[in-house]
Amino acid sequence: MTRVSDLERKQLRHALVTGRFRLQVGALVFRIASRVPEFMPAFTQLYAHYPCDPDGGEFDFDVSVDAPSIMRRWFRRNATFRFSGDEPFLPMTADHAHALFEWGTNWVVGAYGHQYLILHSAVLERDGRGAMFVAVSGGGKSTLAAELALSGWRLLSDEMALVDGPDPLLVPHPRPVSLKNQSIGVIRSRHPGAVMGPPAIDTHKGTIAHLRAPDDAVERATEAVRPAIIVFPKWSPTAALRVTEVGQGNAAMRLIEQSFNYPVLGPAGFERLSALVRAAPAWEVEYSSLDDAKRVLNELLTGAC
Amino acid sequence: MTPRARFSPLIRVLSDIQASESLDAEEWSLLFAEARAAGLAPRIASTLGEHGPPRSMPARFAPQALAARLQGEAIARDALREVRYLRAALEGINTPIVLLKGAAYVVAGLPPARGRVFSDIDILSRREDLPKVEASLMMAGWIGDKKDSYDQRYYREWSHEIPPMTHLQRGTTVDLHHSLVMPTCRLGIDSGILLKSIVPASGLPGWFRLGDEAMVLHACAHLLLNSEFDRGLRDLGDINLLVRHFSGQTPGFLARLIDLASASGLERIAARALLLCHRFYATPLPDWPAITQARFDPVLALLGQVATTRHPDTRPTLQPIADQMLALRELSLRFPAHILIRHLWHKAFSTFGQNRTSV
Repeated sequence: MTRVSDLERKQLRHALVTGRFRLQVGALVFRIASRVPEFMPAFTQLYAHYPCDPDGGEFDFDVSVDAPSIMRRWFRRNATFRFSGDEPFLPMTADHAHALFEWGTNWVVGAYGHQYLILHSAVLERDGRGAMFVAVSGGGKSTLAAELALSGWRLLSDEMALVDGPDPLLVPHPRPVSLKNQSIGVIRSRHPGAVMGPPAIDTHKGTIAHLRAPDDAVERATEAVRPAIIVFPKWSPTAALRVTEVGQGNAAMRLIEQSFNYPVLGPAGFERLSALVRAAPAWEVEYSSLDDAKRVLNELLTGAC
Repeated sequence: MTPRARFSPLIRVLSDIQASESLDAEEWSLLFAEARAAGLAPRIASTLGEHGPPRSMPARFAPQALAARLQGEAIARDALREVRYLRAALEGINTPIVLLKGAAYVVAGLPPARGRVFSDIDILSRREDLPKVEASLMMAGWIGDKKDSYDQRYYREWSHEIPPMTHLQRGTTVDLHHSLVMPTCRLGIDSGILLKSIVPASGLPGWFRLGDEAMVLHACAHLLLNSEFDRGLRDLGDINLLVRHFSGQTPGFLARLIDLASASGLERIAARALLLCHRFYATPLPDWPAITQARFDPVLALLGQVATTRHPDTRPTLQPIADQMLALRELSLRFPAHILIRHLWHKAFSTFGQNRTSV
């Protein structure tokens, strides 16, 4: 199987320019095209170990990051994200081409992957047990996902839980972990060897840097797991560690708030969600130290069978 | 741009679903990509699902087709629910309301309802009832989107609808019309005749939809007079499905369609739309002089460039230019010269002052 790192620069460049490049992320195949020079270095660094095909073939989604017009390839250079030719967002400066690719691609999966119930949550696994870390604004989902992914847990996704049915199953969609502002420094200092892409400075979300998904996350990207626990993380600089059980009904309501496509699935969405909260007990974990959080999460996961 | 892809799997499959049997895996991928770009993915997916998935369809596309079908079902479900909300909001004022386009197809259970991608609900009331209807909608939580006084004037004085209204909580949009085409339109279309044909909307006492022939003609007029060609193939698909459905139901449908088109001044528009439907969907054509005349029409040639696949790999090379030319033409038809000049003057200077916001 060809990996992105197996390709020579020229070969990759050619495949990206001609639209022949295919990237496999778990069950999905993306056709990726780009002529923006800033895109390739970040992409090759963060996706080096992903299976790919430089010679075309079938794909699920066709995306591109390119200049919005010929003029913008040279003057006041910027980049726009396209999906099947549509431009769902406004262009961004060319320096942010890769960040734009990550946002755009997440949006594509969230807006079109209705074969899954999609929840805004990180997913990790240890010993065959899946844990969801549901997005709560400022909750530290991505920091936690990065920390766990670098400490022996397997990363399935830092952004989206793809829930397949009828027995709830978490389908991996491993991609670089998006870290914001201070989190970048936190992860860098705790894991000096971790590979991070070039930071995108001053985006609408602040400074963003992406952590490369660990090798085993990509290696095992087609192995789905059963959900064992659902965690609503809540970080604050002074919080004492506190673990509170969240009832099934309450967990379901909070998950609906964080779903991308719950209404689209209709009654089937309700059934899949109820099966999910029945299968996996939910906890709210308040923490200030990542080490405390890691310890208690290991306990919660071991306790849940 | 891929070198191989001048061939459009979408165009091939629209006129003959059996053609999907000869697609290879990459062409299947392109079919779905083109269908997404044209707003046709749910419709294609439900057509493909009718007789079970084609043998040639690679396993990868079963989940894709399922996702698209679910999206289509959700759109129809949401539209029905929104219509119920609208009805509740307008219950007190006892005014006849005509449902148009997507919502009308869904409520009447007509074939284009299945897998149609749309979001706004279009309704029509008598012009004199507009203030009442608008006030009731506002009381129920819909508010106007256009704050700018020029936009207000544009809609209130010249347009066939008032500014779109969006619901505060649900974010859904309703377009309230008082006419089927712009009253200022230079083509002299009598949409009043079309409105005489209204029939009760099933299950919604006091609400109506256009009669079969008028419904088809309105779809034609909407496609050709609104320059929203990014949904052109979908709109042609609506017309195709309606024509086939109504022709199968009542004999002489096409003859009545022609009569109504002549009476309302929509002959050329209907002839062009039917020719396009025939080109892309193999829709049966009536024996009609207007069709023979429209065949070599330059406008039709332009329309064929824009109301087709919009995917960057397969769209006609001249599509962006044709888009512009048709938009200009449509604008020139929309107004008599003195209003047009004023409108263009305003648009030219108001855009200079605006700053585009970034992401």
